[in-house]
Amino acid sequence: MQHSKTLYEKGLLKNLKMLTQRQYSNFKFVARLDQIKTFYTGIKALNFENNGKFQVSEDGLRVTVEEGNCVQANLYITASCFAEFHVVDMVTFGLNMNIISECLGLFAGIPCSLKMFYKGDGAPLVLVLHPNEEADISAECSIKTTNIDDVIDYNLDEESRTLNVVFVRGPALANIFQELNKAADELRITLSPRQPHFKIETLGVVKTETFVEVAKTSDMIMLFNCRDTTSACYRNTEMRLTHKALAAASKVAIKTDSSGLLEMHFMMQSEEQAEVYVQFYIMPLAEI
Amino acid sequence: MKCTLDGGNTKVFAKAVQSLSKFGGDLFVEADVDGMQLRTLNPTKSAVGTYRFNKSFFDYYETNQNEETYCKIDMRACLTVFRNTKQVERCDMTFIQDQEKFQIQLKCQHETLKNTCISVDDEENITAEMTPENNCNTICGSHKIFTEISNNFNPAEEEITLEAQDKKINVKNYVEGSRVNEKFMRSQLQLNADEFDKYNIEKQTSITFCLKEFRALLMFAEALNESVCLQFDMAGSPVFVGISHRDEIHCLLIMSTLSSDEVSFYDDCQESDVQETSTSKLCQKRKLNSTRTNDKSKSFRRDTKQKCITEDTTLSNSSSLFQFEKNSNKRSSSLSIAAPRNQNPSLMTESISDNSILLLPAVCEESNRIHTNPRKQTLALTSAEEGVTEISSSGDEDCVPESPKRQERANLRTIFSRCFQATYVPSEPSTHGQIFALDSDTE
Repeated sequence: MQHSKTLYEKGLLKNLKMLTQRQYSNFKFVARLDQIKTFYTGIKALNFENNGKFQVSEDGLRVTVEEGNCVQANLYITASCFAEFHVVDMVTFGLNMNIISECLGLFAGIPCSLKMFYKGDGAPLVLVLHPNEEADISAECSIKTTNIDDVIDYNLDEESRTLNVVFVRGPALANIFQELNKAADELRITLSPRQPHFKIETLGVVKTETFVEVAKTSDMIMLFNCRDTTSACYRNTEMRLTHKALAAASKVAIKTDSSGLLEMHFMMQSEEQAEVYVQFYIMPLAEI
Repeated sequence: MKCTLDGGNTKVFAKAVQSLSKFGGDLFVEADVDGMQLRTLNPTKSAVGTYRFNKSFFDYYETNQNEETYCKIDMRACLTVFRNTKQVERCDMTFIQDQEKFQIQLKCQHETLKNTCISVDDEENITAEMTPENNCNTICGSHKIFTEISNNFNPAEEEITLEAQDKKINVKNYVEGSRVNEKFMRSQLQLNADEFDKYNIEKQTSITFCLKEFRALLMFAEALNESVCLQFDMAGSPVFVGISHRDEIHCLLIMSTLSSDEVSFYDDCQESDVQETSTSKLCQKRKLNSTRTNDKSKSFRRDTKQKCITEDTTLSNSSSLFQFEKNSNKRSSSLSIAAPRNQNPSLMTESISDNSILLLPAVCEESNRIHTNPRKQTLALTSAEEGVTEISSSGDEDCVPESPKRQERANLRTIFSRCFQATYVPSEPSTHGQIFALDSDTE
């Protein structure tokens, strides 16, 4: 473990308010975020598994979390969301999601700014949190990084003739999912250009069969573009992994095709109007 | 059977289901030409609740001629459907698949449709052919007064006893002479007849019944904002609690009551009571021995009027653990005040008005106990002749001024919140695998 002195004392940070040019040369990745709230929400939404993969490129930051071979969650923050963003080539490292979530939550909800530093292979990720109102308090965290294997590359074919895309308002969809029976084993999601347009059935509850149906003309559906009827079952426990992202989302894009692979984009609007979004891929259960 | 409810009535229906769900696990749905009723039994079968909805309650109601459908469905499944009815605009209920499933369709805002099909368990129904007699005791009052009464008691309280007399009524959570352990705290409140809308006691009597189902019904009465009517006879006969709403909804809760035994046991019980309390110096809370409720299994298919419980309890009246002190300048119709139950025994209830009846906790010093009425038939506990004033009636003199408040810097606590949490997280193993210094003691 490195530093017992703060970066400031070591002379690495000349000015707490701003990163100077000289500092960049030491680091492979440096970034500053003025409001951590949306980033923190995104990290929390991904915190269902401990191993997270951080990939930083010129376009922005991507955090990936996988559960088995069935669920993959990605957090995307474009470079334009950051106040400052510098990266040398591509930087990839693994991190414990629980730890970074706790570190970001150190100031328990007070608005903070965040600076991230990463020196390179094997070096820890350094976070410096600075509450926006308090001038004399800051927190520095140094988190060990690990090497991590590649993640599965999920993809929905844009040209597929069975590709269905639906945009739904976040709060309304959150309401629907919240009311679904938590005791259900599976959820069957059906999208179709014909009636029923958007249907979620709960399966596996004793003595009860329930479904929720939304017409495509509903005002909670912002876009409805279905080419063919698709229907697939998903494990309820896996679907419930999305609930934190869903609760924070302003809008949700649902995409699927005849393969049954479900892609959900949760857009989280941040204060500066720059978008942070969480993307989930969920594999369907095999039809017998 | 097919029926439709509008949004507002769906909410009322949902409240009915929620109220009935507090009884037991099965919901009996019965539909005939005139309307639909929901019934349920409690697990010990000592209470049956019937909520009847006239066909005028529904926007659309259709049954086959002379058809009487009845079935039993799982209460929880039904409750799940009606848990959140905020966005419901319409509710359609029907039996499908040849009476094998009960279908509930909720049309909600944003063109959302929620559909549930609940499998019918059984084709069973309850028959409870009991009606209150015409000349039995009747007490009717707004739901508010009854809710106040029930709030006076601990939410965990199982039973209450009503001692109804000509002009007033005592409500208490114990039956005198019963054996209880040291922790039990008895509370009692007295209300005058004029607190109720209708108070007609043909025969003075005392009944004891379960509070849980009564509270469940009160919940629905509150939702409807209606008054509640109690009809009862003597101890042992069932008590009928009813609500009537605009001729559209009629609710009836029939509960069994404890029967009173003859007074032959009376003396024995009283002596042991005296022994128990004389040992303690301060008033202590007493936990109620809940042995009574287990024996109340009855079948309502029997057409009997008398419901007997095997538990032996008597009504005694002279072991007055409670003393009432009325202020000398009381008006004739003084307010009855219910003292809050969980009191610090060394303090006194604050007098709410000058003309209040104060409820003093049992003072277990022998010298102060006054046995007012050795007569066994009188149920009233009258006031103490000597004013028992060792406990002051108001808390003003005992008031200690508040210490000055610390100036809070709210941020400090949140910023340093981590310092207040345990530092060692056992799930994360130490990086080195060797402990050089153990955690210091938490002091």
